[in-house]
Amino acid sequence: MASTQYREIDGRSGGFYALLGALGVLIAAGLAATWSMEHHGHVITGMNNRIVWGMPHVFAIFLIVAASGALNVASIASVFGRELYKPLARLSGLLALALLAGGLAVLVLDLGRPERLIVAMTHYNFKSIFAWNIFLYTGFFAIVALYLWTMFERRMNGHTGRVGLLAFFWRLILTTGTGSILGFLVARDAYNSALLAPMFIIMSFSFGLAIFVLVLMAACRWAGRPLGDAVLARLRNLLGVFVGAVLYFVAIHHLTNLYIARQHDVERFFLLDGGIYTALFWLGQVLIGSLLPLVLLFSRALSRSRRAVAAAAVCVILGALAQLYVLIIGGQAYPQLMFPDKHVRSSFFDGVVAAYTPSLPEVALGVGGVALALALVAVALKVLPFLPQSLADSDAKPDAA
Amino acid sequence: MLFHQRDRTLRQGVREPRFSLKGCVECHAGRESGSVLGKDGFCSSCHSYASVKIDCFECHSALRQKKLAGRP
Amino acid sequence: MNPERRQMLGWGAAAAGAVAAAGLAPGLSLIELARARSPQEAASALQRWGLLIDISKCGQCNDCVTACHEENGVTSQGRPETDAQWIRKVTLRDRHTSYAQTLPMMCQHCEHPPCVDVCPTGASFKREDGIVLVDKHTCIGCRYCVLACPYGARSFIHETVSGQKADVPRGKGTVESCTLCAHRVDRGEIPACVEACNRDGGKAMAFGDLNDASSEIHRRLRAEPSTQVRADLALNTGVRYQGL
Repeated sequence: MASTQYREIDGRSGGFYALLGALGVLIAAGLAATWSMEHHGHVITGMNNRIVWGMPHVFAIFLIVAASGALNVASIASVFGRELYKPLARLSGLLALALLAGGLAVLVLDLGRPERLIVAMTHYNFKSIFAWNIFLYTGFFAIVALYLWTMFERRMNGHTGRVGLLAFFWRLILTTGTGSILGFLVARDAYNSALLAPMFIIMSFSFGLAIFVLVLMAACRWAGRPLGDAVLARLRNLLGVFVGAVLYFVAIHHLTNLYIARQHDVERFFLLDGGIYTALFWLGQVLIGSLLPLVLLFSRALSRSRRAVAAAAVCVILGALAQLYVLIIGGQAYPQLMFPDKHVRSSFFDGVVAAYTPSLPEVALGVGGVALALALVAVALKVLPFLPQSLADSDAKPDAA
Repeated sequence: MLFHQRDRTLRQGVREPRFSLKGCVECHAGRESGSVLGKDGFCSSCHSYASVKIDCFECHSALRQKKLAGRP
Repeated sequence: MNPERRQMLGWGAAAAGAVAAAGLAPGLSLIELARARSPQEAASALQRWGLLIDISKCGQCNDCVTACHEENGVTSQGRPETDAQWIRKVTLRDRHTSYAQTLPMMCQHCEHPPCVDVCPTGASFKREDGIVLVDKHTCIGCRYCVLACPYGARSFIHETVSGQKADVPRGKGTVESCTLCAHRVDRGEIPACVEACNRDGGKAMAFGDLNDASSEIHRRLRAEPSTQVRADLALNTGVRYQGL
């Protein structure tokens, strides 16, 4: 059986340069936003003393969570030995690195003092899950780079399985850490939960695969590489399973909270009278982000439609952003209740739902991070052979079972 | 000295007068400007020449607190 | 008893006393605990600073807030959503009975501060004598501590600061909160809010060393009922309230 041939994309067409140009503009806008925020202070953003993490964090956490999940395809190939996924492993590793780079760029550039990044990387408080995350992210870069090297370097191919296993466990710990950043906050009713860590892991599977599917479809189409139904059918089913799993976790989270009298107020806020947060939860997260993709992916009538797969992936991504907006911003908007059974008012907005309006610099920074990730992928595809020559059905290797 | 001593002051609460930044500023602030920054300022004059940015005074006050003797 | 033996006993007692005093804490004798420590001494875990606030005496005045912000150079920019507030008056109204109260809320200087646990660089830290502070040299402005604080005590500085007080460095891009006026406490004075309340306000606030059995605050806490806000979190706050 012939082994998979990989080749760089040509990357000389007008379309390619137009894509890089467009992404470049978005990246430049993001950099301009961050310069402005650093110079004038965060007062120019919509963030305030009640909502300290805003749109940049929605995008950053989306990218970071997706980065971990994007490596899933490679893990399924190396760790679980599924032959069909092996040609996709290189792209999977690349996407993981690029998404993480984009997410971390947004996070670092939003810091109050980003010039102190060196301080952050040399002073660790190991009781802080945030500090652990910084350490895990840096390690992730190294491990995935090593993982890719074992795939590219013929002599190292035998080690791909072992490094793949390390990468697999590393990112489970990493995503557990990311979820725990919120899950460990005892004083916030919306977060304080052990469920957030495993939920983030499942979210990473779903978001990462949705991005992977879109990037794969776009890359194959624009580089003129055949993408067969066999591969697409497998990815379609996998994405559907992950979307369903996320919906399950969300349901359990809210159902459990509804059982606990102390949590009734926060549940009412999210599910019923939280205004924008309630709307985004039901329409964005549940309808567009979960139910619609499930229909698009599993409906028999659409089972041969590529557009349905792409549309489902787009819906998953939109739903992901909605979910993170509700979680991160809604979770901060809901007041911290220090005095049970009392109406509370103060000059520091105690006791009320905090107001927040996303501002242009924040969105520009967040979108800039996404653009950075995509630009890194585009350039890498041109520079190194990440993309298989062909993923047509005749070239795809289904599993022996 | 500045970097090491600041941790002792901040973290351990050791406030030896000879290591106090406020103390340095009191004496070394310019007669006219009352500050260690600005043209010919005690700190800025070397730092701007060497083009090494200092950000101490983004947070710390660069101004002398007490009036000099013989001034109204 | 012959004179030599008496002298021997005297020296022996003095020596034992000296050993006992030295063993109490290196460099710190019993007498020194009672007075302010000298500038060359580090903060010591033998002391734990705290506040006791009797909110039945707390009225409509804002003297504590005004005094704190004046002392620490915290100026309003006219943007209440992003302006820093180190202390604020909180009004409570019972949901069922409509009984109304007001109290000052500031950093509670917990024994187990969540803000210290979560800070990635260790900039948020607790001094030996219990005061929770932010090391602005190390703070990267990530605002995770602002999320973690159960009391909403922390503020992020959203714009350039000018006119800082010499004793209180503050700058854009870092996080800050009530320092229990550490710069005054280290000189043997009391926090500005307590001073103002006792001078012009309702005399609701007391400051002192929780570990010092002879201090007013220690005696009152021992003899009278008091509570912590969010006692369920088991943070052992340094600020206690009466009348809640």
